[in-house]
Amino acid sequence: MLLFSRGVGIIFILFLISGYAQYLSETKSTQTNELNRVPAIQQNRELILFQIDQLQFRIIQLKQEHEKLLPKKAYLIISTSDNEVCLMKDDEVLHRGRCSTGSFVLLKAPDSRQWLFRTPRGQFKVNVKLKDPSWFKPDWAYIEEGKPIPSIYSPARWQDGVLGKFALGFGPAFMIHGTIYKRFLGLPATHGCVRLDDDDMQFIFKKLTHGCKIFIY
Amino acid sequence: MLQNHHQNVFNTLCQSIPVFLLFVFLSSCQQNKQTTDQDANQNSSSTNNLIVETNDSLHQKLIDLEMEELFWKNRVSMSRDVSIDLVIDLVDSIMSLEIKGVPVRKTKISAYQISNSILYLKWYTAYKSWLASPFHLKQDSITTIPKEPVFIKDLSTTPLEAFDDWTYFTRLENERSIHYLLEFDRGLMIWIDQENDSVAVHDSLSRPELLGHWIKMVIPAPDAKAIYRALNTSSALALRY
Repeated sequence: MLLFSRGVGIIFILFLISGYAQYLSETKSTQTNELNRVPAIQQNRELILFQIDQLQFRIIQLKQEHEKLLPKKAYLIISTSDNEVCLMKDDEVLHRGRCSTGSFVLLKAPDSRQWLFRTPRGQFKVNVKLKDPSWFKPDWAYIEEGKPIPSIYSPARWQDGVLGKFALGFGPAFMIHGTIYKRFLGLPATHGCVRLDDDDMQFIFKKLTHGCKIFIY
Repeated sequence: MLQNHHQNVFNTLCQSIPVFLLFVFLSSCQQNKQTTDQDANQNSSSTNNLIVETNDSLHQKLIDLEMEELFWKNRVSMSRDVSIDLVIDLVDSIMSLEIKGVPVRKTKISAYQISNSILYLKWYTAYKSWLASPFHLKQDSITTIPKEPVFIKDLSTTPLEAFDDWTYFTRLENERSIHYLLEFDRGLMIWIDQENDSVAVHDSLSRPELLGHWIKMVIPAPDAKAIYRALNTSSALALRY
């Protein structure tokens, strides 16, 4: 009986020891799992935050690269749709005014020659600055008026005062100049050149130098 | 001998009692530990839920920033061409024309609608390939205004005196309402409607019926005309939504 009770007691003790050991091992593994789970989520979060920082930095760099494309000097924007001109510097408007651009008239002469009067679009540069410019009257001007066409060497071809007091040349053979036809400002009325009011033309002539950019759309 | 046996039993019992009490104590500790574990699990799961929710919003922010990066990359890339390009930023509701990266015309988008197929691209991260480079204009169709309002003066058939009032053509054109469809590569279509007091915005956006990836927008009439006239088949588009 005594041996039996001692045996039971020993079994109890062994049971308790094993149970306690199991308890200890479970506690440790639970803690380890817990410790492993939380940092994984935090690591993922930290990775996302790092990626966000990198992206924000790259976006700032791209924006700065884009801002550098703005001309450093004053530049001109001409809208052939609204017939408006805008003098800009550093994305700020210095001066705004009305203009006349190409009329989109397709002139078909009796001799089968034809001309489409439109102002070219794109980016250009001021390649010449003229004061008191003279206009070399081309063939189409005589055809439009129904007048005979003189020789290209005729001094009658050269006309003063038609282009105003100032002119800026751009592209192959186009000009921005003043005009005597002020009633047509704001309308598509020219043969390709850009006509401005004389005051606007004087202001722009002073601000733009050789090489300044002209954007026409 | 019997007395010694009883005493031994008694001694064994006495030795067993504290062991038994220890057993009870440890088992109760284990129960508490399980309860604590359950609470800890609940707490940690609620904390994890919070972290997961925050991770979701961060993930969304990551996507938005990736799309913004692609948008600016495309704008810089377009600036290397000589064409007149279009920039549509639906996040800030701004549409603009650019020449060599210089904005020449900006307008506010009054209203817009975007197809579900474009939104799905964002959800399934397919936007990265779709927005990887600028879109190129293939054609403009279904337009109410001419690309170039050419007025023919044929002096071989008509006398000069018949062409007095050429400005009539311009006045007539200004009276038309402006709507047009721009078709780009990668299946993108953009429908532009001018702002019109007589037609509600949702009516403008409800027509026409478009399939695939489309965006419908309402902008002021002068800007709609200027943008349409400026674009050509060499134009590119940078899009952000």
